Amino acid sequence: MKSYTRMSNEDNRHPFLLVKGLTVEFGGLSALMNVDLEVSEGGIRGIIGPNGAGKTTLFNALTGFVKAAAGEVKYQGEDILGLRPYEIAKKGVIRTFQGGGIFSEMNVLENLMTGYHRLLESSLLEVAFRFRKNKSEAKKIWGKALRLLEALKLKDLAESLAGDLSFGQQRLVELGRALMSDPKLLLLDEPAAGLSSSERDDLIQLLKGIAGGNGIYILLTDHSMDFVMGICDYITVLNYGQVIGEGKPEDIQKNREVIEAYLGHEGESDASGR
Amino acid sequence: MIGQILLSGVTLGSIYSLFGVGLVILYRGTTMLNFSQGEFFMLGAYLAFTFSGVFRLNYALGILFSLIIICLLGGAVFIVIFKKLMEAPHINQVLATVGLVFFFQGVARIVWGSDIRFLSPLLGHHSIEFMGFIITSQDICILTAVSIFTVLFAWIFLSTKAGKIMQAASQTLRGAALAGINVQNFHATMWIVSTGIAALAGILIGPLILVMPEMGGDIIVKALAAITLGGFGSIPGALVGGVLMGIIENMTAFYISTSLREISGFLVIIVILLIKPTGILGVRRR
Amino acid sequence: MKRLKKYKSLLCFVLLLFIPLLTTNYTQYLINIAFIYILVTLGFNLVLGYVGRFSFANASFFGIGAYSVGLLMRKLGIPFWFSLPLGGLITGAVGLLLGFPALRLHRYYLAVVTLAFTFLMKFIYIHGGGFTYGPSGFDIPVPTIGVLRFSSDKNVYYIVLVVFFLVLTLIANIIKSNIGRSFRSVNEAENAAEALSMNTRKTVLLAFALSGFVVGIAGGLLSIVLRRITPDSFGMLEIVTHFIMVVFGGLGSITGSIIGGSVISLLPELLRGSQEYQELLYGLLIVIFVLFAPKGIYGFILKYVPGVQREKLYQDVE
Repeated sequence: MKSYTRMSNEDNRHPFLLVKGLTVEFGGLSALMNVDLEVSEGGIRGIIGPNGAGKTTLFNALTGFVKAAAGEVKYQGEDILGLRPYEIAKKGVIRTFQGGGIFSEMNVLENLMTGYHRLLESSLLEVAFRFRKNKSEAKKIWGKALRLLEALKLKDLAESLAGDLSFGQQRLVELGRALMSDPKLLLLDEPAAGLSSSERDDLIQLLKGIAGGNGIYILLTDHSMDFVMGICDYITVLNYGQVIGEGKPEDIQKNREVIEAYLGHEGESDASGR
Repeated sequence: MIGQILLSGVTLGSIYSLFGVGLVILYRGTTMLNFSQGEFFMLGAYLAFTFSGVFRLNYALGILFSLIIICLLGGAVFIVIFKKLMEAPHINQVLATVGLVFFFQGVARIVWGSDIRFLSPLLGHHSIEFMGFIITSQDICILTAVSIFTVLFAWIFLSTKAGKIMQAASQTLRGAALAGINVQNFHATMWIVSTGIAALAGILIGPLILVMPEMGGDIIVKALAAITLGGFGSIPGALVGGVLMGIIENMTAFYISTSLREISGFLVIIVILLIKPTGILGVRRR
Repeated sequence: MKRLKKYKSLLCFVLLLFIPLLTTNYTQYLINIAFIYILVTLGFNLVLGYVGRFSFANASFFGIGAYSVGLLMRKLGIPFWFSLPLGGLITGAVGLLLGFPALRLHRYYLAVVTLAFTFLMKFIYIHGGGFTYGPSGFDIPVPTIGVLRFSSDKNVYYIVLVVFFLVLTLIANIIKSNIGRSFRSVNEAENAAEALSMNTRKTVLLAFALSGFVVGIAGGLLSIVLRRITPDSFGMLEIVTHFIMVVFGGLGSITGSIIGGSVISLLPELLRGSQEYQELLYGLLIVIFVLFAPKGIYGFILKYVPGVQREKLYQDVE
């Protein structure tokens, strides 16, 4: 694995990510209520909760896709609430989507290349006239994309149309695409959904490798307890838009409220919001 | 004077309303914007002219035959072309309707020539004077016909089973299919109905305007402006927008300049879409 | 062999320099027109095929380019080699302006507004009085560079050829780069694109501006080739023709633009002789085409001709 920049949060005055009192409302219903979250250590952070708990809404609010009614979000000390998605992404906060947001009409290599956008330096004229700066950047993008594909064991599929791939492969492409941008904070929305168990194991190894000592903070959501327990160092639990527990996996497993939340939702029809 | 202009504007506008409703029905029922609708309008007028003028048929009969033929044509067009394009990307569907515009215009030019034809008014050249306004028999025909149509249509749409199906299908086509509605038959019906309406509009207004192969293009633009004005995709919007469009067009022609008559439609479209895209009545859904 | 591939376009250019030796004046004229329309199709593809916006404004870009270059040459006496890029920039600015409604309006609304805009422009040409010379149009002076006069079809061809290759190369570079990829990304999955730091607004506006520029230059070339511009050339027929070129050639590909632009521009020639039936046949052709070859000739080739590779959004790296 290519080594990424060192832990971006060298400055220990600010937590890397600080969320305070985040509230999101959809037409009178609170999808998120007063959510507090702090990420200051490396490793993989999990956000779990039953369906409809607000996990994706949280990600949407953090990345600018959804408006927050109240609260604040400080990323590396900077306020990012209210910024447009592309501005937040530009700062190194890269997210993936639940349904898989790959570009199906492009091939795998092209998909990866789009991930480099955040790091681009060539201007329009430089691109049009293919000045040396642009040529070397194109080479750089190409090289990085191929290296990532190799690490993800997708090199043979480089020229295959992304839409033709299996769902598990598509999720990998999406991950690779996110990695192309040298993200500082990776928000993975249900990265394991739809994967076979062997694919899941591979993913766990992959993510551990990315997070471990590489300087990337990872936040992921999933509603499968098993997956999350196997990979996360610290977990936040949501239910009905509120935080109901936080802690190391072992502690969470013993937490009564959490267990009830999950048991209570079994066999019940999915409730969204209140 | 202004009253007279308003009156003729309303008459003209009600034709736009009628035609616009036809457009919207097809759009809501099939998500397709049929640019060739104007051609059915044109053919309706030409057929009425042929039946009454050339074959000397009883006017009413001629109109009936016209309508029947156009409806059949609409159905045929669906079966041959648009049934196969139901799943195609929108741009292809639009292109197909545009192809039909050329096709039908070409056919009309060959069959009837490029010269302007004159359709005689349904009830003869009578007019009455009422409160200082001059109202022709054709005006009365048009206003009566469109009013009856509106009432009839409202009743069908809101009260009958067929209407309920239309409402359902226009909300979600997938849902309608799941509910057991035969989507293909429904689409075919929409084509038949909307082209019939277009032909009726053509027959009604034929006597008032120049009947020529290009009249299809003209009405399409005005009707698009009308439905945009009233709120794209809404039937009440088409009705209101049509009348308004007729009035605006006449006022512009009289008070500003007659050469602006052609582009009054375009100007309306641009202004509305830039200021209030949802139109005067607004739309609850796209 | 690989080295040859690198200089493929240079080779093409050199070969094409010899065309006038083989043609009659009329054939040369047709070839000039074909090159112009390839650029038209390419420009339209940027907006329709790559960023996927339903704009009917392409014919207006064509007209604005033709009129601005023609008027700059006729009224202000500015030589073509300056008028042409200037006309392109003017049209590009108009394109940029039209990009704004494209951001806000839904597919059909945009179609209707751009349609209205195109007809409005035609109206302005017709009723522009002394400024636009009215319905009968105007003549354009012979393009010159110093003492060189490009008065015949064969001479003008060289202007067309050089401009064509220049523009084609620039646009191809842009498409096969991060910019081209961002066009497609914003079209396919706007949210995912934004999540990768792509500014959708800027991307769409850029596509429109570039489209205006390219088609404007093509329009300027039209002025120079025809040496006469009339408003009739920029109405409904032109709008539809552009659509057909893009869809026939293949949406969203450079090769498709080349095929569509060249073949369709020569169609009136092929349909000649059946003047009466021209309109009818045109319409029929469109419908048949939409029914049986919806992905364009390029799509057809990709599907049925073995060994042909899909056009990539990146350049080959040495």
